[in-house]
Order: sequence, then C-alpha cells, then structure tokens
Amino acid sequence: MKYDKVVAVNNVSFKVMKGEVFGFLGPNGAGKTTTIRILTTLLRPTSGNAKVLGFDLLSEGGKIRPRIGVVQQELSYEHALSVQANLDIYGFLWNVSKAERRKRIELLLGKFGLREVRKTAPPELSMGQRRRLQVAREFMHDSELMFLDEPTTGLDPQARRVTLDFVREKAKDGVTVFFTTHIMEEAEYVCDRIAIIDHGRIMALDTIDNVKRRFGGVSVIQLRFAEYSSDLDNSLHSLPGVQKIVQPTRVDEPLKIFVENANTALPKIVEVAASLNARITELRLEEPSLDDVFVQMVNNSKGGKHDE
Amino acid sequence: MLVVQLITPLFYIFVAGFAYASVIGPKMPGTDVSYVLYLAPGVVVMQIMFAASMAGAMLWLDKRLAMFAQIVVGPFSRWQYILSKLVSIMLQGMLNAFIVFLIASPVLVGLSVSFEGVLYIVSSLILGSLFFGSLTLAISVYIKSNEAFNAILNVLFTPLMFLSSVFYSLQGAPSQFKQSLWLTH
Repeated sequence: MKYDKVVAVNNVSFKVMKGEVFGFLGPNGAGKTTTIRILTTLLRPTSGNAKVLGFDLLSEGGKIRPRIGVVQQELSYEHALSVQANLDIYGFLWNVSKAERRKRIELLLGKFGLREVRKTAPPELSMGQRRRLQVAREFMHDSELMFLDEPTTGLDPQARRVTLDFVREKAKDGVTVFFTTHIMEEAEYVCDRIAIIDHGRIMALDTIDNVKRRFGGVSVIQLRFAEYSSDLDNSLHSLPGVQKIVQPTRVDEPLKIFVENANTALPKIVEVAASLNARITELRLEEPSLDDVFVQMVNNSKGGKHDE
Repeated sequence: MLVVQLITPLFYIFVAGFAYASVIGPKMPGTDVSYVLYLAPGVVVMQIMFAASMAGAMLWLDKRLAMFAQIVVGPFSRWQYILSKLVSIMLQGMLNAFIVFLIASPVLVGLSVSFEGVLYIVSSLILGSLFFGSLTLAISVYIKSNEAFNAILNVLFTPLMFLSSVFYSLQGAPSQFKQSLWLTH
C-alpha cells in the first residue's frame, strides 16, 4: 500500500485462525492502521489482495462489511446524541431489533461503566468515557470478525482490563479478533498469536512464547552466592555463551549473568560453582519479556535489519 | 437548526423585499407584480441551494469527526451512504421551502400557478437538490480544510445566487453575458 511515494505496508502476508485473538503489534507508524483500513475495505491496496472471512477483499467488500466490527483508532461518535442514543442508533443501523437493542444497551452501559452518563452527550464526557462508548458501540451488533485498532488508548487500567476481558469473552464465543496495540502487556494478556510489524513489514509471526524464544536474544540468570570470590568471577566469565556479568550495586541485589542460551549455560554455571565450593543461595531465570523482544526488533529494524 | 436556516430567507422577503419595494415602487418595472411578489417565489426555491450546502457540511463533519470512516465500514455500500445524504438533503430542502412558502403566503396573494406549474416547481426542487447536493458532496470529498470548504462554497454559491434572477430581473444584463445565464436558471 502506497501513500504518494511512501510505502506504508509492503508485502505483508499472514493468516488469522477462526476464533483466535490475533495481535498486530508495532511502533507508531509501523503500518498497523493502514493494514486494518485495507482489511476493512476502507482503503484499496495499490497491489496484492486478501481474503477476509473467505471473501475477496477487492471484489466482495459488500459481503465482508456486514460480518465485521471495527473500532477505529480515532474517536468517533454522534456529537449531538446522548451515550444511550449513540448506542441505540448504531444498533439500528445494523438492523438490530428494538428489544435486542434495549437489552444490549443495558448490558454494555453496565459493562463499560457508562450507566451514570447514559443521558450525557459525548463532548461532555472524559476521553476515557468516550473511548469506552466507542468500544461498547461495536458490541451492539454481532460480528464474526472484529478489528480493534488500539482500542484501549486513553483508558485507565481498570477500564483497560474490562475491555480486554470483554474481548477475550467474545473470542471464547467464537468471534475472531484482530487487535492492534503497541502496549506489550496487553498483547501478552489477550492475544493467542502475534505479528510484529515495522516499516510496513512483518518481522515476526507466531505465538508469544515462540516469538520470545526465537527473537528474545539473551536471558538473564540471577544468582546469589554465600561467598563470591575472584576465582569464581573469572571462571564464570570464561564460560562459553556468557555475554556479561553485572555485579550487584546494592546488598539486596543479585548477581546478573547475561547468557545467549539459558538452557546450556545454567548447568555449566552450577558446575563451576560446585567445583569452587561456592554455595548458591538463590537462583532465578529471567526470560526476556515481550517488551524486550519488541524493543530489540524495532531497534534492529531501524538499523536496517528488516528480515527475520 | 431549522429555525436558523429560516432566518435568512425570511429576512430577504420581509425586510429586504419590503425595503427595496419602497424604492422600486408598487410594481416591478416591465411587470404587473410587486417586488415582494417577484422576490418571494425565488427565495422559496432558493432553499434547496442552502440545504444542499448543508449536505457537503454534513459529510465534511462526518469526515472530520471520523464518523465517515466508521459508517463506510458498516453494512452499507458507498452509494447507499451518498444516496442517503442526498435524499435527506432533498427532504430538508423541500421542507425548508415549504415552511418559507407557508410563512410567506400572505405576500404571495395574487400569484397563480397551474397544476403543470406545480409539477414543474416540484421537479425543479428535486433536481436542484440533487444537483447542489451532489456538488457540495463532491467538494467536501476533496477539500482538506474547513476554511477551504467554506471559501469554495462562498465563491460558488454567492455568484449563483446573484445571477439567478431571484433578486432582480436580468433583462438588462449585457447580451454576451446573457448567453451564460442558462446555467443559473
């Protein structure tokens, strides 16, 4: 997809399984929103094609749109209508019956904490309340596939948790969710699989655990010894795969050994300690977080290393 | 909103109309009707042009407030969206015209319209709504800023209004100029 001469999304290819929450992660400007705009038929790609729910994106947009729900990144609502009327008219546009609309409005007002402001017009609401209205509105109708473009922007932690839980609940009911965010905690909480995109290209695509394993790089082994000698320090430094050792700066801090592969390094560290009679009092393995993987990938991408 | 839209046409008829009539005299030169009677029907029909400018403004507002993108990813086609705007504008224009007609009816005494004339007026209102509505919708699709949108509407609609012969007869206009006036009638 090209905007003038800027390529926003380039050669992106992926499949999303039915009923999964698929996280589409990337820094600002990575191409997440453009991808969603293409998949929701809002933008026509300059080249390439895709199938959404089995329908051709270019020729069957009219069959796709009634089956999807979209929460866009930009806040949108009818300014002159109250919260309740906003929900109601949206359900009406989607041909939801009056009785069903009434039921859903009550459910969503309660779920998203909007009951007290049901008669208030959006311009008088806080940013978080407006966002909650926007997300809630999309659940006024049924959809087989939901596109959520950074739906938690502007939400407080509690509202964020409620939204993510609701998304999970919907996924359990069989709704497929395409979820974009740049908050890795959210992705870890809600997504079954993720793709990391940057500069319009997919850098990784797998389950979160596999992505961490494949792209996580170094692990950190945290240790405490009864006594730490210079012999032990030298021996640990000479072990293959040890990248660096960080000495504690405070009494309550452990020694940190950064290794390429914790599975192979750990037995060797224990062996060295045993051979020097250094008693290990605490041992902890810290795997790289998704945040670490993401930052590392984006940094590599900036350095021109686009390919996996 | 409706009340606001009615202020200008009623001002034209009841303030400007009577004020100019006092200068022009009891009859429009070359006709046997008063200036107010000459002016009022034109102002009624002109409502479709004002309503049409709202169509573009509505689309522009939808775009600016991200509702446009939200609606067009809904279970509708683009045509349905555009058509709904045109129909709503047509109805709005007709309603405005009818209300102005009702309020101005005391000054329209003496105006006689045949059945064919009524059909001609109604079809003109419909076609005019579609034309001006489509025009402002097309403009609002391409314009990027609110200021540019308002400026273009002013540049287009103000000359159209004064070249429409609503306010005065264009019989005295230069002959070369008259050739192009079919556009504004």
